[in-house]
Amino acid sequence: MITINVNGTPHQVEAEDGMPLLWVIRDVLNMTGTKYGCGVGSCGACTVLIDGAATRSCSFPAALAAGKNITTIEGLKTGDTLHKVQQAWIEAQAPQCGFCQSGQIMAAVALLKEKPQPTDAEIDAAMTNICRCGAYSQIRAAIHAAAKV
Amino acid sequence: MARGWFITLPLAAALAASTSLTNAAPPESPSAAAFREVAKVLNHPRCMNCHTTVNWPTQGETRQRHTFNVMRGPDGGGPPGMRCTTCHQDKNQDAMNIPGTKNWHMAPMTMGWTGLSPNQLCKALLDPAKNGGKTGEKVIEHLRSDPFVLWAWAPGGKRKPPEMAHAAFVAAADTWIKKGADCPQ
Amino acid sequence: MVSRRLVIFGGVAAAGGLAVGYALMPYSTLDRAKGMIAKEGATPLSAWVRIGTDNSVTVIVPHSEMGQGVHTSMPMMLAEELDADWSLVRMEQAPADMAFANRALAREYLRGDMSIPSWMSGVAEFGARKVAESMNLQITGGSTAVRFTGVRGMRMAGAAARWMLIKAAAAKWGVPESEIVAKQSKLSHASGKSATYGEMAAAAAAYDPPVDVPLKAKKDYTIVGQPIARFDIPGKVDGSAKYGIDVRLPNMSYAVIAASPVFGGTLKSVDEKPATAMKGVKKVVKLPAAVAVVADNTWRAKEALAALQPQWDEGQNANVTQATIFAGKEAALAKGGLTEDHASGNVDEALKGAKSVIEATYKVPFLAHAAMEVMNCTAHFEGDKLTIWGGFQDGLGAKARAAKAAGIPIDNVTLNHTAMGGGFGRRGGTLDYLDKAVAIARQVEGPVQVVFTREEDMTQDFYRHASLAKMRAAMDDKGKVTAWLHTFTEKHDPPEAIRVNYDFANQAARYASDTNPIPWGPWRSVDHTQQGFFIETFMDELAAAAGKDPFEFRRAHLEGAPRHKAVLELAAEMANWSVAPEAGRARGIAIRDAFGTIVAQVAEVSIGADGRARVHKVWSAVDPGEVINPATFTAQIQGGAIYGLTAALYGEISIDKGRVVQQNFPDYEMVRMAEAPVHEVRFIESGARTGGAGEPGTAPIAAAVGNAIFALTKKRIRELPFMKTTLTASTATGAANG
Repeated sequence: MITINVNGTPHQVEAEDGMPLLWVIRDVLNMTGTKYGCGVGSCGACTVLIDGAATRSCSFPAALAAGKNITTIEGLKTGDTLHKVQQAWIEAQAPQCGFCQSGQIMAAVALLKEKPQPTDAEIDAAMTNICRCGAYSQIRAAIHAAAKV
Repeated sequence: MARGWFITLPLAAALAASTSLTNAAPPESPSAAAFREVAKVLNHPRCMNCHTTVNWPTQGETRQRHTFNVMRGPDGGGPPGMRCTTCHQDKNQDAMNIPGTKNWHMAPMTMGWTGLSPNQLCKALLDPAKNGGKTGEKVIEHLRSDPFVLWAWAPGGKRKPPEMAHAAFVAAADTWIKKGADCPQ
Repeated sequence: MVSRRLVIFGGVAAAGGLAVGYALMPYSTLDRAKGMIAKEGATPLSAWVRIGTDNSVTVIVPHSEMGQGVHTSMPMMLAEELDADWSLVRMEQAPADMAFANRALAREYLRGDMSIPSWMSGVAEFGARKVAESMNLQITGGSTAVRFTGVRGMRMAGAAARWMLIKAAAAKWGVPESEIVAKQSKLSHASGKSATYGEMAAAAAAYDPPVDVPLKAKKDYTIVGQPIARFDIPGKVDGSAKYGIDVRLPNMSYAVIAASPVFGGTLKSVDEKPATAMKGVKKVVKLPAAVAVVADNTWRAKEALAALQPQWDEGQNANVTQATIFAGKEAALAKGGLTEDHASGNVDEALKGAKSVIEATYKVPFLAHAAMEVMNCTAHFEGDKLTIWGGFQDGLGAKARAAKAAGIPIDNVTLNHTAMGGGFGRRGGTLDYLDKAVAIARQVEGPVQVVFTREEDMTQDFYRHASLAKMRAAMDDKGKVTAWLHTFTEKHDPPEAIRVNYDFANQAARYASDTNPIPWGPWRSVDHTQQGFFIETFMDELAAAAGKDPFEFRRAHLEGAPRHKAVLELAAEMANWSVAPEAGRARGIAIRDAFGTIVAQVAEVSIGADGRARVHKVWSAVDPGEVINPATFTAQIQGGAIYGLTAALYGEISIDKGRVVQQNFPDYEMVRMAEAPVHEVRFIESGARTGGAGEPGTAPIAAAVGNAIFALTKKRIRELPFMKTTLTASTATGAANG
């Protein structure tokens, strides 16, 4: 058993060696906002924040998460108030199918934390998540909008 | 600072000057010959993929550009928001075929080796401006015990380690430095 | 002249004596539909709309949301005609029930206005593929939602409901109907009397829906044509939207599946022990052509599956390779006896008599859909009752398929719709994932979620077919095309994908089918993806051969197609075509008429140091007849272009030893943020019949990019993806587009 802190709540979970954090979040804690997309760290749909840094949870062993603070898409809100990135996402009408958007939003939150006013080049470098619907221009616009808040 | 370091440099230079005057290539010094063995390892994809001279790492045995626009970033650890550690964790993740060891990052651009000949590589390794300010001994130390170097011999998944065993590699590097830090021509 | 809309009205009324409001719904299913959507405190005015006593307006949408905004555009169309207060409008997805069949689609088919794509008519598995059975469709695909349900259903339902409310108010207040104003969900009269729609709903329900009701003029629209925020978006930014893979039920198991890696292979045997010995594993399920591991979470199922070494009977495809497939295509075209798709004039004579004939061969590979949400489905048997959870482009078709797979009556199946993490055709008629879930659920206690890993998703897809085209054409001295002969392999849908809108006197298209054993499925824009590349690249080659500007050359052949010409001209204007781009870049142009929407695209490219094309900008001029929601339509065109661009630049599924080589995104690369072009979209609302939004943006992009690469490098790439060809920018760049 290990203890992981997700969105400020500690959870005792059983996770064998090598089990990625993603599946603990999705199948053990039943928090399904964090998505499985590729399982090999390539698409970014599973992105969560670990101690504030964007991390692809499909390739992060849950055992390494013990004692760290994990933030998932469900934990971005403060009470009922959306995070400014989520709000910007709605205003830009960024999602299409929406499946990649939890990961996109988490990556954007991590980017804005380090670069509050990112340039387009910095957005290109940080936002490597796949959006199969091709909502990239709306996502870019949303990041710029969130940076202004 | 290792004393041997500064002593050997003029010798190497003298040797280089003298060989350039002769037609037949003289036999290579044991030091230089040892470096050729070292260079084979350094030219291995496990080393070269992160010792690049471009703004991105390469990957795989073919040293193709790292997929999905992965960049070096300001400190070699990836750009803000997309750090190397976004995917590369403290150990190899074989189920996902993602290599890992603590603090995964690229070597600085100044330590880039892409396209260097054994001679250039040798000189780069001896140049404190291109080796992270290391003395010869420190270079050996890096090759002997740096977690990244050691990772190359346990790279996980289907990744191939260098053909030469790590101990033999360190021994060759040791010979190279101790016998004069000569650079092959 | 009677309008087309009234023809449909009359025709349907004559056939079935139906109520207006679900204009194309037979009377027999009316009560059933009403019953299913009726809720306490709400009066169903028609199957498409429910007005609550709280004055809320709930629009029942029979289509599935997969990001195209249909759950918002449908209510917009209804609310517009109803004159509803948009802030009071809600959306509810219709249950997968016959009462909500996409009869509009079937109706169009009967009228001969469009043909139902073969993959769609195969969906309704009630036996033989008869037209009557195709009436059971509940399709979201073929860009049909707005075109048919919206135009034929939602608008009329809204208008009819409004009419009934007015009728009720007039009777209650004793005033003429003509004096009643219905606006913003409120009825009022000059006398000062007023009531909300909700207050009048019960009274209105007593009236029969009208047979004929005038629709609004476009100039009076206040909702349609506005960039209305989508209903489905808030749930997609806080993680609360539930996709098929997010279904969590008490006592649920997780299954990960591996089908025979060779297409057509079957399972010979498997030693279950390595898996059953592992923690959390409940069962190994053997299917005729697949093996699955059922466990208490997805990871454990996946790991245990990986521990198995199933033995496959690889069947007759074990030696199929990319090379044998293309050799087969070459042979099929060389053999002759091709099927003629269409012909006018005498192309063979015209080519024979031509001074010179221009020829080119084009090649495109297989493509996987790679929706972000891998294929999955949750199924639960309780006796002979089956419950399904999942994302389906055609809920009703899926329900029928599940019943067939389970061997139980359709009424024993309950289907719960979830959001879809992308469909792109994969979640339409190719419901193998549903079949597999049903088969596995049969052998499992409690609900089981069957998930494809990404690798399984990529290697067990139904692929956009690889195809080969040989084009031949002749021109006169003035650069006018006198003959156009298009031969190719693999024809599917839609029919217009093979057509050109250019005025070629002598033309024909001929094809060979079934030249490979790889499973086929519709892939966003279907045949347009390859035909757009073939036709519009060859057109560019002809322009170059004639020494003409590619835009002017196309334009000169569109004299008989004013809408197409206007779209082409707008794209050129948007891109500032006549002015050369900055040094190191060039532009290419292409135009397609896909799913009722005409799209002309200009792409501006450069060549990177890595020898790959980089697309900086795209301009799309689009004539869909009319635009319901410009924000979602723009996103669909942009997204469609990205989907096509990914395929054009990187997309290749190749076959070796009868199986797919590519496994996951690292070897099936995608356009991501850094490669996504700036894309400007403008619309021409010509008033022509409403066209689709989801697919047209995909159709021209490969040719537009390839034509730009040619303009820049003078190298004509005739094989996709472009990344297979290493490029060097010509030194004389930026000089001209041509």
